[in-house]
Amino acid sequence: MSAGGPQAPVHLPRFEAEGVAARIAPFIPAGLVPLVALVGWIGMALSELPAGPAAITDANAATALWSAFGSVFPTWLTLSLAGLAMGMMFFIMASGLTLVFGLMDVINFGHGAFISLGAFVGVSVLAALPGWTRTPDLALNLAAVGLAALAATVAAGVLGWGFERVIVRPAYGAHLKQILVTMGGLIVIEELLRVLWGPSEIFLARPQMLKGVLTWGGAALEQYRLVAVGLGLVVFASMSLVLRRTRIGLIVRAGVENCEMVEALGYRLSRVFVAVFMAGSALAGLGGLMWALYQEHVTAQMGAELLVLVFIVVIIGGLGSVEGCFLAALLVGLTQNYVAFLAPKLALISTISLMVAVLMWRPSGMMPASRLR
Amino acid sequence: MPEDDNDKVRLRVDRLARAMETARMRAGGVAPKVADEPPPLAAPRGPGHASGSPPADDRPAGPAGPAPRAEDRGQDLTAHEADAPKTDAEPVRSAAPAGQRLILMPDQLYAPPDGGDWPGSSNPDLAAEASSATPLEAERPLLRPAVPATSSATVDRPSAAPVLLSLAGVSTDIGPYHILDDVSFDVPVRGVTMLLGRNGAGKTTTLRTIMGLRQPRSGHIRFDGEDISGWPAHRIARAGLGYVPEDMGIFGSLSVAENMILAARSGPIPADRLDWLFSVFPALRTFWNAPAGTLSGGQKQMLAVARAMVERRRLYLIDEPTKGLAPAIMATLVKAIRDLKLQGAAVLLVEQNFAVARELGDRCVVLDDGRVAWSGSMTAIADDPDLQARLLGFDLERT
Repeated sequence: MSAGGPQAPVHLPRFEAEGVAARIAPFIPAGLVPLVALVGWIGMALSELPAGPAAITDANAATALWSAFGSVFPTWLTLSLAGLAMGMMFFIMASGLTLVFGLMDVINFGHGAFISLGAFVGVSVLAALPGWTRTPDLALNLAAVGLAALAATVAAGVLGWGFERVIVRPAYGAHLKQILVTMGGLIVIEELLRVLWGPSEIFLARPQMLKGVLTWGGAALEQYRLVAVGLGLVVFASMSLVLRRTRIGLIVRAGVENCEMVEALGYRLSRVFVAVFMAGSALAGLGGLMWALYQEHVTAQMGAELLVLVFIVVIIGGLGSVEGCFLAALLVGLTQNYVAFLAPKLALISTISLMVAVLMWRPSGMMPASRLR
Repeated sequence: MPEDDNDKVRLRVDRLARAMETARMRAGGVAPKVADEPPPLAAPRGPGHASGSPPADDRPAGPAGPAPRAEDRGQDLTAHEADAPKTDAEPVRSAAPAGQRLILMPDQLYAPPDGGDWPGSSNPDLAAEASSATPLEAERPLLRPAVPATSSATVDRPSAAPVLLSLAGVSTDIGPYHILDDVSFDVPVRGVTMLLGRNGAGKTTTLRTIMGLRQPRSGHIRFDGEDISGWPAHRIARAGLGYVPEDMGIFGSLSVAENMILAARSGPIPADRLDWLFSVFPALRTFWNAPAGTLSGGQKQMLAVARAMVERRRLYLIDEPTKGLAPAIMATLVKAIRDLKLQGAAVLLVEQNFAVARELGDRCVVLDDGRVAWSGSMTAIADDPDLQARLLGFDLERT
């Protein structure tokens, strides 16, 4: 050995140009949303052809198809907006679940209870303010909805806090126990809702200004759906901002990957857990109210019914990923609407088929949080 | 960067001045306090060591045991940073005659290569950095003490140095297995304590137990006088421990920058600290915004160590940092840990590479089958092939 000690070969990182496939791979999930929208449009245009899809082989097929594209556009736009609005509501309901799943490794079937509770509380607030909701005054209407949303999130958040403390905390680390106790919690809360609000479903009318329909380019665009899309975007943007730009977001993202190390860096994760659980429950409550206003009726079992879709969204998106959850929710919403229009009989299996297809392509979901571990 | 250089030069000048001051005091007949003697930390190292002087500090004449701790803690533990004047004189407190002390400190006066111009910040070339770090092979002869070590009698010798962390009768189970059985040892307030032992001896479990990631079945762990056994990990971390786990614990989906920012609990990373880390680990600067999961194994290891060092901690628990690394990167890590030591921190280092251990270690604790098989100064075990063969199952000299 020379006096200089071990001589390491000089090496600098070399950055090879990545192949096209590798470069677009991260953007595929985001690209799937417009792709599904495009496929939906094409499918609708084909179904609009006078002689059915077989007419494509005709000599004047191109012009026929072109005019079909134009003629279905308003319907397609209406359906797309409906799909996006549904997707946003799924996202708001599911975002908390995916974080709780990723961060705390808790399978929380009780999440549906927060959806139902938020809907009931919010609707009750709206019912208590008839003067605000029945006048065609946008400010008053929005104030009433805002108040209802606040009540729904607070109620669901508080319920989430209690749920974590009483039901989830003793079951940390034991998946089977979690499934059993959270499912039990869901049933108990559902029945309590029936006790408090009565067994029959509640019908409500949306506030006057949210009932209207805008027409643009021949398409009917429901105002409420526009509001839902806007609200969903706001929730997504603020969640991304918190997760990307704040320390608590860093802790949550790191905790999704490796809780123990976050603790060893000096952070008290149990508190972050509770905060995330409460925030997730609160968002579920907000989503529940939005869904109630969308459907214009509320039932105690709506949470349990929506929970299936919410879980599908979380699984398609990849556990623990808010971005994945957002894109998956939009995909599910759009697919459901297009399929329900084109082939109503297939609507029931459309979501499941989407999940199967995505899992065959990426077995742990589109963008799971811990993919780079 | 110029400011930084000035700081570093000033720091070394200060240190030298303090060392000379102490030497002068000693020569003038001022009796050193026995309790201030950190025996293994100032183990004789340099070639200038007088062959006739025994390492008397290996056998403190003063009261043994925990008695000196309390009074020293006020002095040493509260001022554990390198800028505390009185503590920095420590490197010269060897037992050699006063006149020779200054030449005894090549290690303690360790300066960055190139005499203070840290190369890393302007030069992202890792290999150059590594080759300028102290090579393990070249230094080996310097580590031989002139006096034959008396190793066999050093088992469980109470240390007279101020104790930062002490384990007393710690037993830890993992499931039905008793992994640690009545483990007791002390980590002095500064210097590197090696934790050696065969695979499965319980080294990693020891670190995890100290860190609060495993609860001991019995026994007590005291850090800075407080009983931390049973504390949750986050509280132990906040008491001043930095931890590099065996699996590195990198957050792969976070960028390198975010990994570091997360570790800096008290706010933004201080610029001079970051400069130092970049100079030691240039790869961090190159890949600052890359997802940490895309780093190579060696870069991840460097990130794990740098992350633990991002703020000053009093004790660093580092679990096998050189595992599976190329020699060049190993030298980088050795240099980083030596810098920590110079900053006045304590390090408890698990290491399987004995060359690294003898390069860095001041004290050494050998675990075998969950028990402390031996503890003493690093030089004692480094120079006793029979002891190595008996404790670690290999013999560095004969193989």
